[in-house]
Amino acid sequence: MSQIPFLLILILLPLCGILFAVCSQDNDRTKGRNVLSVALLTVFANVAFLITAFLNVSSEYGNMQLVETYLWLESPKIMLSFGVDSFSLLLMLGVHLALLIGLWGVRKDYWLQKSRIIFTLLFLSLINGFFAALDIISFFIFFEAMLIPLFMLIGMFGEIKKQAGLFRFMLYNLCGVLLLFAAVMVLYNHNGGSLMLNQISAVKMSHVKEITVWSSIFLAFLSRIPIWPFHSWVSAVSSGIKNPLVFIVANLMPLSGIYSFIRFWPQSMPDSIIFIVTALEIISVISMLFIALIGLINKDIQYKIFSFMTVYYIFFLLGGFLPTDQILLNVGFSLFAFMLIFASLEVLVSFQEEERLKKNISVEGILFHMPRASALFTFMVFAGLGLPISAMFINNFVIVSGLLIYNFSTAVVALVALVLVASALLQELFARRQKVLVDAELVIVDVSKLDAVFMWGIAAILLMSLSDPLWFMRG
Amino acid sequence: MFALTTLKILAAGFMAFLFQKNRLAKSWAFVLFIGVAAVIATGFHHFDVFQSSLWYVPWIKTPALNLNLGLKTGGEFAPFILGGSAVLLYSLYYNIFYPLERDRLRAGGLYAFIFVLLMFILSAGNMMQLFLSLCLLDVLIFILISDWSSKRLFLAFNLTADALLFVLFAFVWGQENSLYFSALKLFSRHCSYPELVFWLWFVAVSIKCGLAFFHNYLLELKAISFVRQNFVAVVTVLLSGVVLFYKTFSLTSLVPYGALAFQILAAVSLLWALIGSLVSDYLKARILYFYMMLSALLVALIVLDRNNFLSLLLPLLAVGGLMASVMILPLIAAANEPLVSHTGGFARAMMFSLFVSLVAFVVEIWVFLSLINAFNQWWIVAFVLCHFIAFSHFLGQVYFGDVRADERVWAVVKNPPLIYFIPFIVLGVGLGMFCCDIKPIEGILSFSLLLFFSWKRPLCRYEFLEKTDERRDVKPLLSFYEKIFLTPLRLVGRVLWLTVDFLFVERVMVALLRRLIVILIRTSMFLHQNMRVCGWFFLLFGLGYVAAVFFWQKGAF
Repeated sequence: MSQIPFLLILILLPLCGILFAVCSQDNDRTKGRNVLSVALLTVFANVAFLITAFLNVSSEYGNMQLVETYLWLESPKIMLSFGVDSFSLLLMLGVHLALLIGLWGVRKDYWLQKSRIIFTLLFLSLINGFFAALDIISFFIFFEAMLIPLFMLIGMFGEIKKQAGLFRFMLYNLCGVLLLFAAVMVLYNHNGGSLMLNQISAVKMSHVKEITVWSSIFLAFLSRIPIWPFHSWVSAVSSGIKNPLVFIVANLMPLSGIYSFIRFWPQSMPDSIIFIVTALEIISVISMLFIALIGLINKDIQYKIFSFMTVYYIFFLLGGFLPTDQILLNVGFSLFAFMLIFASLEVLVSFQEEERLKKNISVEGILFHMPRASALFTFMVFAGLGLPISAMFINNFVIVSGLLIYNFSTAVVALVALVLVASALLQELFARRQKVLVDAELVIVDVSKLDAVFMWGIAAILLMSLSDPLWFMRG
Repeated sequence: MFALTTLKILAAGFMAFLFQKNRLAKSWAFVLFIGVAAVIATGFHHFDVFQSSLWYVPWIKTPALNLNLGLKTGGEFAPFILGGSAVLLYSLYYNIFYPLERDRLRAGGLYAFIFVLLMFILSAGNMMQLFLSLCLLDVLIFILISDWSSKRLFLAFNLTADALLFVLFAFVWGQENSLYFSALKLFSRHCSYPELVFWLWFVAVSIKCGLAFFHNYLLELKAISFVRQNFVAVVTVLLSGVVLFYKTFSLTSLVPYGALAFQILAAVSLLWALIGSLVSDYLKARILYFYMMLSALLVALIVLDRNNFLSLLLPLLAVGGLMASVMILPLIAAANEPLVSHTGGFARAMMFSLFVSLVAFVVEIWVFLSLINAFNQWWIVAFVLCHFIAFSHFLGQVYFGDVRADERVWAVVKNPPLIYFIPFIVLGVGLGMFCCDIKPIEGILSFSLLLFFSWKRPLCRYEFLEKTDERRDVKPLLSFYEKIFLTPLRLVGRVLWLTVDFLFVERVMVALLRRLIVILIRTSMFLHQNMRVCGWFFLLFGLGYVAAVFFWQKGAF
């Protein structure tokens, strides 16, 4: 079993899917069904491989297994190393399920379905490589390459009205990539070859070089997270995206920032970079509070979901910075549930928006006429609030507990921000579920039974994750 | 055995919830009642509820946390379990025939689910099980409440309490590395922020117990049907809220004034509930005010005599059930006319109901007399006095005085069917057994006093204070919440968005960058023109670069 190159398959399978998608017939008769089937099949196949991979690794954090190494260049000698632990596999599984939800959300949208799915599969392949990367070169390659499908998806299907915002968003991300490139090159030259991620903290550098390298890494990863005061470019793009799949892909990008911080950042950091952590904490809490407040006043549901996600991402980042490795698996569990929740919320919102635009009605009280969507939306909002219906409940508890003990003031501000985003989501739920009577002749169509079954399936996964998302590894 | 009984009730609830039937709904509700009653009876017959037993399943096993979920009987849990079972049967019984109840089977199923959660709350051995069950209870009650505005308020209050408990328990776990209740004592001694933690806990408990200033969600329940309202009020306030306080009581020692703070709030709650039950025009709101009084009493009794509290719980719950059954009779009789101001003079048509109400009150007085004899608490005396005033005023308004009901209502006023009186017999007999040592003279005296006060109606001159606005209690709160909490937050959010997002980032930083780029491009274009000065510039730039490299190699920098 250990002979099977699981990680290579996980990266290559979506690329094979792209080949099939390119060849599939896509015309007025098929209405994008063929290409969608290819995508769904690819994602399901990858999920099956992921679960098999799970059964071949132990569940503790940081124990890199299924290690695969491939020679890329002879001169200069560059090896690409891949390996995973349960933390990275969990995030991969979360991303797959989130994209599956997104694909489900766009299955009736036939416009340029083929291109959309091709870029989505490309993104899937690259993010798998990113999560599996063990050395700095492969890490950098996937970190950068992920931006290509992202920009294509946002540019082509995001339906962003403010092109200037999109331009700045791209520029912002590219700046981050350049900074990481500089840091990686310095490290490569200093070491005389590639380095494993867990060896970076052991590299001895001069004081100035150390600060320069770590600051560049810090800023590069930060560029993936909508952090204050640069959040407005990311938020303008995120809240402007009308397509649920593209929204999900765009909002998976901060996950790469969080993951990078957790993987790169040494638990026992050199004294010279402690100030960076302090700066990060200050920026994080300001961003959380700021974005949560704007989420509360903003009437756009997309912005509310964006603020909910950003606040939670930063919260997980703060959890990842706690001086204990034990909590990191809890961060992974929470992130897994979180991805499913935000993807489901986005798809459910897109269903409602579609109906709202078709019937030209107000969003207030729309769920009153859509009982299935209402039950699902309520479930997902409750799960998002951290109620005990998903893994977020118990794992957030552990993270909050750690924050309260190690950094009380940060914890207090983070909790206030979490309460504010929860209030924003509840406000939206209340507004959408209130009793509003519409014209008797107007029939508001609920989500189909098939959609409801699919979404309740996701809800079942969330419920099962309440005790342990790795329940299938037990016994 | 206890776990099996609980699982059977859960299964019955599932069946009822999934296979809802509109046809023969009352018959199905009856089947559900009989089924659950049989399960409880056989379950309690086969195992001794007072004997200690523990059933648990492993729940979480991560490096950071190792927890089990368990059900426990015996010892301190016995009165809670018996009380919870009685509440379930009481609600399922009314669910069969209560006229305004829709979705009887769905409601019945939810009662069963909530009962199971209640068992997990009552027998929680660790804080996480307690907290998990409380949160799930809130979700299920949210589903059970059929009125949207009541739902909203219930959720807003209870989620706030849950959030506070979340922080509190996270703090305890972080500091003591244990989630068992025994860790609370140690935590109280070593807590780094005792004041802050105490007030978090104080607010959470006050919300869950429906004490004054935190009780609005409780009153808003008057918009839903009596059976649901009664079940929700008892389960949230009298059982889960009080149990939360009972189990986490050691946190009162966080601050020297902990116990006193709760006593003061309980006293204020008692008075508030008394005033509310005198001036509220809503019949069902008066029942809720009565529960508020009872909750205040229970909280005060826990503070004063925690060890003997458990022996008081069951009779006090039975008294609650008895009073709710009494107060709902006029509502049933008057075709669900919910306003007290539209009643009056009902004694003529409902003599039997009046008599039963007076007898129920006598039984209640007997219970309290026996409690006073046993525990000698001035709190019980105060409660009895408040309750006497409120109840005599209620009876006076409804049964005596002028007829104020309109013709439609007056035409249908009559004693409710006998089926409504069965709970009186059951609860009356049960309570009678509890206080068999009371002298009849005390009963006759209290009966006469109540009749006299109800007939003379001394407080009726203040009836003008009653308002029919059903949202009287909620409006000021919502307005307070809107003005004090939401508006400043929105304002801050708006100002931040305007100053930082728009003014600073968009108008200053981005504009500055744009200008800078324009200047760079123009400079570059200028330097690339075919002019002599440009040639000089490039020459100087090249020389400067050479000099810099030269000095850098010499180690000058």
